[in-house]
Amino acid sequence: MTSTQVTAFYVCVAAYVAVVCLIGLRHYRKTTSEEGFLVAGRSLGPIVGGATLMANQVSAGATIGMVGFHYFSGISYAWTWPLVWIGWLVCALFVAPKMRGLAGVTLPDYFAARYDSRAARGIAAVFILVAYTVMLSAQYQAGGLLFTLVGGMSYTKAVLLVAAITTVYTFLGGMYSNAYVGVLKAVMLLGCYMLAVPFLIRHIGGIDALGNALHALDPRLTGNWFGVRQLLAISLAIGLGLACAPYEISAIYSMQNRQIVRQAIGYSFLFQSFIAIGVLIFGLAMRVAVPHLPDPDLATPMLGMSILPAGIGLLVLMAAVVTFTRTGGAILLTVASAMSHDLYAKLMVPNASERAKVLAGRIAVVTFSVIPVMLALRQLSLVNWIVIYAAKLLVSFLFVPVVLGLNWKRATRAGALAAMIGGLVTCLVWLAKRQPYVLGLDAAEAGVLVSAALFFGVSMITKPVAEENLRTFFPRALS
Amino acid sequence: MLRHLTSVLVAATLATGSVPAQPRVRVEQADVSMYVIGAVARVSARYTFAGNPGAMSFEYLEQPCTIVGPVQLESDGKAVPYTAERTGPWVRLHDTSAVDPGRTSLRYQFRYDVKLAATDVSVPIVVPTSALVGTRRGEPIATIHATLPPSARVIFPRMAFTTFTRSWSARMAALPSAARFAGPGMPNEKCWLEPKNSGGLARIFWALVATLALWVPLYMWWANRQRPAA
Repeated sequence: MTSTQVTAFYVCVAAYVAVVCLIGLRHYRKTTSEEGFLVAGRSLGPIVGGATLMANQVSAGATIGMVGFHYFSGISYAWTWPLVWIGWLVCALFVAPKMRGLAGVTLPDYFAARYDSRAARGIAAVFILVAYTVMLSAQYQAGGLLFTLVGGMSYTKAVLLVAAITTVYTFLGGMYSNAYVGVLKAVMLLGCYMLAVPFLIRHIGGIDALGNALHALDPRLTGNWFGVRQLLAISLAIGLGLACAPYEISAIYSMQNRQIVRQAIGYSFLFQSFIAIGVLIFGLAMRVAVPHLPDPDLATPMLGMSILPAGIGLLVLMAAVVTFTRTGGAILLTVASAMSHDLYAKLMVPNASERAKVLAGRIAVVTFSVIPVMLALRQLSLVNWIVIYAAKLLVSFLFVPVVLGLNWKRATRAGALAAMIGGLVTCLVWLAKRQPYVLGLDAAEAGVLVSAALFFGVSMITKPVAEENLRTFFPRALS
Repeated sequence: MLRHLTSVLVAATLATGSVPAQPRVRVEQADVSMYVIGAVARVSARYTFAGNPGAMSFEYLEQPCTIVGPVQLESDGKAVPYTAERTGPWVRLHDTSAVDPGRTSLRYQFRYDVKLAATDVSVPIVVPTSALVGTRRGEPIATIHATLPPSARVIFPRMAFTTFTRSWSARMAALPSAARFAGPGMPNEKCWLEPKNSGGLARIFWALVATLALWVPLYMWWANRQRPAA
């Protein structure tokens, strides 16, 4: 990039920081209560809600990592989008309406209410702290890579800059900031893909010419690099993980009512459709246009820096900046809420005032922004792999006690605890084996199966949860 | 706990082996120059590799509206024998000279002419089949220069025009397979490369688009049918 283009990039970053700070400041006075700070006063409508759900899901793992995946593996990975959406259907049918009915603030609120268990709340909160800290490091790492490449900044400074942007607007506006920055993210992603995809397809000579060049490079690029088995395993981990993902549950709590939640999931599908096609074409076109990148994760930065016309390239780079700071913001808010709401306000200081809870939330935002910086500085593997493996741990830990617990009233506190710990340990053991499909099962599948077996087995032999705890979730059965 | 978790994640990532190791070679210099005069682009590509990379291979992507003339390959001023192999639109050039185990660097220079037959045309660039790496991740390691007829311009990749030298240039982290130009001073014939085997990419792509496009209205129809609840 020329010095003028680098300057233009930093001017746009500064403008973006100003906009997100304005969004944060505008909503600062609405965040004097915990409900305002963590769930936007339950005010989100379907479009803003849909953008929020999409913006949580479409992270650096998608805009940088998935482009890299398509670059090295071709088209087959794109089928994970509709497969992952099955997880959203599970959410729309079996999770979202009941969760919104609970009107909690965090996912551990559900564990406390459904299972009448402080232990379940505490364990869930600690797990969220650990797993989401790793996921947040992936966002910082992707951001650090981009700023290093584009601006020539040192990686350490770049990671610190990304962490600072993410922290500032989350600190100011909490969920309000996340929701409206999510809308900004949707607009920027749609804009960049709508402009860049036609340019790339025209340059390559059309879809057939693209296929011709890719097929000659490696027939698996136009076929099944990832087999059905692998695609199902990855999609299962991500999709079912989304159905019970703490940051998506927080977004669901933030919407006006159950009907709005269902509609918001539809708008999220709409946004994701455009993103899926854009990410796919970016990866495939870059494989033909620049066939020997030293690192697949460089595909998106290089498109923005060296390949696309300056204006569109700048939009691609800014969309990436918005993506990892926005998803980082959602993750950070989730981590902070686990600390301030679940551990501090519910377990340590149950009588804390609203002001103290909000202050604890803001302190947690700053504190838990620092830890992932240290992880990101270690530069783990490809960004998308970090996201995938964190998703596998999340689904093994949360899916059964959340999704089945919402729909099977015989589930007990002991069953939920056994399912959480058993699922997590199984997934870790599978991952530690360092080989795929031990006993024919992926780590997430093994985790979910063991979790489900423990959930049913232990629940059947332990004392049922009191009816008053179940009434919110099974109103018809208990009326 | 956190350290253990991250090491497990990294170990598992490496264990899957799904990320193919792109062959890499350390490069000291990678310069591509193009001079477009009328209907001909004269291309020169120079590569200096650090260490002893062994037998090298290169490739270029055949482009519509272009005919690549004989490719001359030299190393340290001497002609280098090579074989050419065609795979779809890619043409691979393999250095068949004996590998000197004692060499500490290796230089190649390619020269070839490309006949252009359109006003908007891509000129193929002969690039190594290995990824070029510098000392730092993503560091720009390649330079491209293009001198075009007046009023012509570079469309792809992004290159800056220098008024003083009246030429276009860019420094990049990896080399593109082609550079595209447009403008007057070039012929204007309609031509295209007939795709021979696209591996069914178009069929899979449109099936994916149709799946995504159908999913959204079907879901919205279902969501709007649900009974509103407080």
